[in-house]
Amino acid sequence: MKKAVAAVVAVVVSATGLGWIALAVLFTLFNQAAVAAANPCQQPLGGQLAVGDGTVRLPLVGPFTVTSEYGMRRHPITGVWALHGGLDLASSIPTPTVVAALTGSVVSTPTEPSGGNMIILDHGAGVHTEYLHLASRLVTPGQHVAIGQPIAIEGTTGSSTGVHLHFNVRVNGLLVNPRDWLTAHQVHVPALGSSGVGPPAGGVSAGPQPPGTPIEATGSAGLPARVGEYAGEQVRIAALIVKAGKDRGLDDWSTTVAVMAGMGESSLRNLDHGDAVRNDTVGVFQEGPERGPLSSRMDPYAAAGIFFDYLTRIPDYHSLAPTIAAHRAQANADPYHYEPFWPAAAQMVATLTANPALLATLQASGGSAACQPAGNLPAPPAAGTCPATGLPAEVGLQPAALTVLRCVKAAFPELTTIYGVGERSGGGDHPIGRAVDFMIDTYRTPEGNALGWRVAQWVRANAHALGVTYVIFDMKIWSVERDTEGWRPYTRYGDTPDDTLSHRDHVHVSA
Amino acid sequence: MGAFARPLAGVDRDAWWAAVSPLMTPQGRLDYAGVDPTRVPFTRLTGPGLIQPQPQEADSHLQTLVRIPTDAGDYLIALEHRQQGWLVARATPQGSTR
Repeated sequence: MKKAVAAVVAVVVSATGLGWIALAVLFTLFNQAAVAAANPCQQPLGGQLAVGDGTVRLPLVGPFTVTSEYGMRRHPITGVWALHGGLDLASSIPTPTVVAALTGSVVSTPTEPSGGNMIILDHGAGVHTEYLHLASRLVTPGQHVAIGQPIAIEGTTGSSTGVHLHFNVRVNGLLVNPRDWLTAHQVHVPALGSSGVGPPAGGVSAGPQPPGTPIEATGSAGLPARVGEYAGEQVRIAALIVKAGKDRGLDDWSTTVAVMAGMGESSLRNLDHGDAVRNDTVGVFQEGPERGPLSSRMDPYAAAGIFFDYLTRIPDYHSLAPTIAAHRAQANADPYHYEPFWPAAAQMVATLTANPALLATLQASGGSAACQPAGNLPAPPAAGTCPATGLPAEVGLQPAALTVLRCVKAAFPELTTIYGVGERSGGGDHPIGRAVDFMIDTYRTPEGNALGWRVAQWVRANAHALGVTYVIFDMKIWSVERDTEGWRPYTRYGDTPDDTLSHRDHVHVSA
Repeated sequence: MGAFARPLAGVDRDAWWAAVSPLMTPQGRLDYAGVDPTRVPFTRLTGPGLIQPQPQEADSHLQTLVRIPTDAGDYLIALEHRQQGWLVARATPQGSTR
């Protein structure tokens, strides 16, 4: 019996998701230089520089995770159901700095049993902000503070279960939802469980960044060896799950649900066996034969894709509690089984997304180069000017497919075996002259596989100019219609050992 | 709790749910509606339930915890008192299962 125990007490305590301890040393330096998205597989990542209208900013510097919302909840320590009056933000760096969210003056710096070390700022016009659970304070009552000025170090004093900042906003004395208030001031707040990046200290007026600019890490030292209780291969599997979600354009909440499910199903291990109830379920998500070929279920990236297929099919799944969403996708016996894993999953996703380089350098699945950086791709085709090839495959092709053949051949002269209408039988786009197959003679070698992916990525990158509708290679398919999902598993022929049917030996392009 | 047990082969999901759902709180019904009964680990109860100490949290409804042994380990059942009597809010396996 391999699944972790979910004691009721743990369930209740973890429901609030405050298990934040300072993360291991994962974040070296980060700077705000934009990343040029050279790799078409690489989606914009979660960490965003939230820069508002200039009068208000996030009260933290650097990467953080939203760990609790304003609203009714069960208190993690007292168990009492009551209003949680603020927004909880947990930094993921050592000695995190708390800064003034807007310019004002220090009203008081009380210490209370519940709020711990606190700072209360007055901003005029009836607006106050409050900063709770601080480790130490850098300001004194009466002092003027400017927006972005460091005022404290984040801590876990008072009634708190881990290092985080509890941020309150009062308008005319009444607590308001900080998320709504920040949003009204055009400050982006990531969703619950998602990560973001607070701007550097010292205010946002100096060189504001366009919203949504991905951060870039200096260097890419690879995945962290350990995140919370998970280490080594478990972290790599979590990263593959996150990457699978990112490649489909899914948000951090959805990928966190998937990581949570993987923790609850297999402790993020690629198991080759099932459990006491069903012995035919395998892999990170313990998926049965009804969910796809064995090779996919045993491939963490592809297995996560299967999970996302089921998750995103649930109507309005974002409105469900994370454990219920995962349960509906998995159809397991205990709907609350995954609940204790949510804080660890949020911590994992925050860690893996705070530094986009971690995922960018990750090899997607089982040796596949599907979402590896494709290197320097050839220049885009000069539409309409790609030269005739003289190949027999040109005969009978529709104009768009003919353009594809000629332009791919021009960009990749090393491709010598190309099939069009006459060389392919069966249904589909070939007989009607709308498809071209570029055979990769050396597909069994890593270099051949990489060449195939360079062709596939180049065609995808230039799909619009070429009139391409979809591309298949190496058991993956990408289509214009479902562009946001990136490269999806190609399952038409299931687990076939036939390298042509599975498209391992050629890049199929329909146009 | 006996109704929640994994049904014998041949009992379909709807029949199982028709027996289980009236015993649950409205929230429980929502949350457990997606359960695949063929994945429920236990097939029968193996002894009487034991009432557990009252949890500290203050819910709007009276709550009682009962520990019930099954052939796949103990379950902790959270019961809530409603007009219809005691209804199941949660059934949490205490062993290692999902």
